[in-house]
Amino acid sequence: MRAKKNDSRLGAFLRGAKKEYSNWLFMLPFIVGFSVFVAYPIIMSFVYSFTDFNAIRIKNYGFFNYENIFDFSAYGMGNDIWKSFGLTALYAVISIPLNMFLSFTLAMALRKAIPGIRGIRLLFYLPVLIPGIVMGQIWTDMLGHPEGLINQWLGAIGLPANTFFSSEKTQFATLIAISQWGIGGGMIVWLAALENVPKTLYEAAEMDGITFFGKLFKITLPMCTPIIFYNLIGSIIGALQVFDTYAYLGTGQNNGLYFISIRIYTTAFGGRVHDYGLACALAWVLFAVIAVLTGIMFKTSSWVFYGDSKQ
Amino acid sequence: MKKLICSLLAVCCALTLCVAAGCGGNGGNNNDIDALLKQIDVTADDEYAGELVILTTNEASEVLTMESLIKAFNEKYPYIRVTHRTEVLDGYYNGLTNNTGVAIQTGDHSLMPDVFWLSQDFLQSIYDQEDILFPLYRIDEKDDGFSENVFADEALAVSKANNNLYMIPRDYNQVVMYFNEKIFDAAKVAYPKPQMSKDEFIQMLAALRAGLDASDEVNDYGVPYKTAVTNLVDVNALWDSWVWPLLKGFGAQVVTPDGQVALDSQETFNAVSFWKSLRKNNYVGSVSTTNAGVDFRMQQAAIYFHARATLTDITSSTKQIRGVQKLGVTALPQFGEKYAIGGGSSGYAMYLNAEHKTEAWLFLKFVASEAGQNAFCSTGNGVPSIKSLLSDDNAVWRTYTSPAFGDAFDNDAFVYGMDFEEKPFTSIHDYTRYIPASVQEDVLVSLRTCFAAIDGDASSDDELKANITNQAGLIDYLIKQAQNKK
Repeated sequence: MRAKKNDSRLGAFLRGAKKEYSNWLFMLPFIVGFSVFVAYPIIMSFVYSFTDFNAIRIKNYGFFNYENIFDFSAYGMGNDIWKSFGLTALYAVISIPLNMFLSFTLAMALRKAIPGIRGIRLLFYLPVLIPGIVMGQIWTDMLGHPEGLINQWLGAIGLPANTFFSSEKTQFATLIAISQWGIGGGMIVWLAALENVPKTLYEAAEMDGITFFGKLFKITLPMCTPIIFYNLIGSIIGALQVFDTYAYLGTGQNNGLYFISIRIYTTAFGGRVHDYGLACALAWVLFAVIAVLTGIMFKTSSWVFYGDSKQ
Repeated sequence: MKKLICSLLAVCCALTLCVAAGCGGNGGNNNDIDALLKQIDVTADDEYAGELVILTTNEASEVLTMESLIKAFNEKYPYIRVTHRTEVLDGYYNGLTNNTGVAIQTGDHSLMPDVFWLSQDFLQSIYDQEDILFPLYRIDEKDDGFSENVFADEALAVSKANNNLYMIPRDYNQVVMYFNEKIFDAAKVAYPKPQMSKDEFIQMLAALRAGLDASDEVNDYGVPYKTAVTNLVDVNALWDSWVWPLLKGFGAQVVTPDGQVALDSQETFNAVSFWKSLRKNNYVGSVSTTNAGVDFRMQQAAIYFHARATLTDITSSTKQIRGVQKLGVTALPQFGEKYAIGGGSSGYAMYLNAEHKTEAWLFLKFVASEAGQNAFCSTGNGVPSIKSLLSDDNAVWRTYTSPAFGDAFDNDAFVYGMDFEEKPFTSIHDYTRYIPASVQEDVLVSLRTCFAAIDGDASSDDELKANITNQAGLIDYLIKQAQNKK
């Protein structure tokens, strides 16, 4: 009976497919591309995470990679790995709010329709157009060594030189500072959000005599919560996968910039022994962390105001 | 729930499919070496016709060497068509490993080269992957026209894995002290002599600094040496062929032959401390520099520690980098109680499932011949690996000359100590052979970390000692973990 039911389902599917073959044909490039370049690698990385695959062969299967990730004995792998996770989390916790605050402040400052405002906005947006790697190289030249350009400028005005990227103590703060270089991108999104706040709300507030900060916290920010939420999700995912610093700073002084994505890369491709299995396991743990955080964000998103539409 | 079960089933199906498709890896282990050996015609002569694919890195010196070798090879074997493929050094070993994986899983070995360049540093880890290297010692047993005894002992030792030959050593490399005679002349300091003592070396550096400070002479860029030369010595201080000999020179050990970790010692600290003192006096630059050699080539350092392989890079002149135009060379100073000179070999290996095995073997034999070695050395960047040419005053590597060579360019520096009773030649194989291959890279990183800490914020003597203790503990842990896995 069940077999017959399945047959009829399959038949219906095939009949549908035959009838709508042109639709399938148009979707085929995507389906093939998705299967080959997305689905298959995802499945295989999950499989490899339970093996010691080294690009050539698999000798052992099991949970040993996951055990190693959570091995916190004296020299256990877990210590270094979770230090990388911690470092990445710290980077996210500091850089995301800072970036959002600065880009919002900038957008607020540049929202007024004064003469030449478009040109000024463009100037703030221009740095976003410079590729991250190129920008990184420029920053490294300016801040990467004691004789860098910034130190030369500091010296010229009689200030002492700073260590910036050349010291373990200052490299992280320096990275956070230069990561704000792209606030122009966030500014554009904020400007769009601010434009969408109905003017009537401000007019009504003004008639009620509400102050600037009153309007900011009671109208502007609540009306912008969908954008804040969107930015937050995107930024968290982006920050937890920070990687491009590896190209110009490596893993930093005393591995002080050894973020988790960099560790995944070096585990797979660095050194003489390529531990694809462990790298895949690390990637899945990172995925789990991001998924959990994203899930929590959505579960606690009741503060997001979507207007009259259903959340 | 139904969807979840469907998804899980889909994953299970995919897993089954993958394993069935051979992702579990079942290729090379079953290779019957005897069967593969039968594919090699050891009687092939210079009339043999065929094809050969060779892979090297795309570095200028490697390409130049290979062009020279292919030209000479084709003079002897005109009917073998050679294709030379190159890859960037950064992705070289990754590519080799990944392509082997693909070749094994697809059964299509035409993806792979027949012969590929290999550095001794990577021999053990490539060997450990089982499916890449052809056991050349097995052909050696079969072919009366070849003997590994032609090679210098030092070059041969580093070309072996598990005590068997897997790589034909192309060169005999040991670290020397290059110096810019013009800078020494400007400082009015005598040129360095072979095997200077540590104190003589430091006195020479102090004299150089004082001499340059008092000199107004300028380099080829028009910049006075006293401002251009910020660090007197240019070296990659984290180079494995530098780190280990320095430690050994001070009497330190990494691992004893019975596998015990012995790094945590006063001798190790003395070596690190010595380098710290050089760094503190600005005699040497940052320990973790990534562009070693550039200062020397730009006439901004007086001394450069490296091997012969970099010779033409040092002397070549471009608009941006003028190169050293009065180059001297001598043997390394003796920094510690023992005299240890970092050295090794690079060479060529045969792919296990090479499609053109006979041609590959003919090429490897040619590299080991005097004609092949002279062809290689004609580029200027090589010291031969075979004994007969190392001591031959008329060998090409000794007769090679350049207008950039100064009065104190001494070819003997490249083979200094070969005839000593206790040979100073030191390679990382001294201790890596006692360490499981899977953790060798980690151990090398630990040794580098002992020195890299000099540049860090925690570089007081106590902190450096604690760092050494920590690295020794880590090495011990890694070795034990690897042994337990086995």
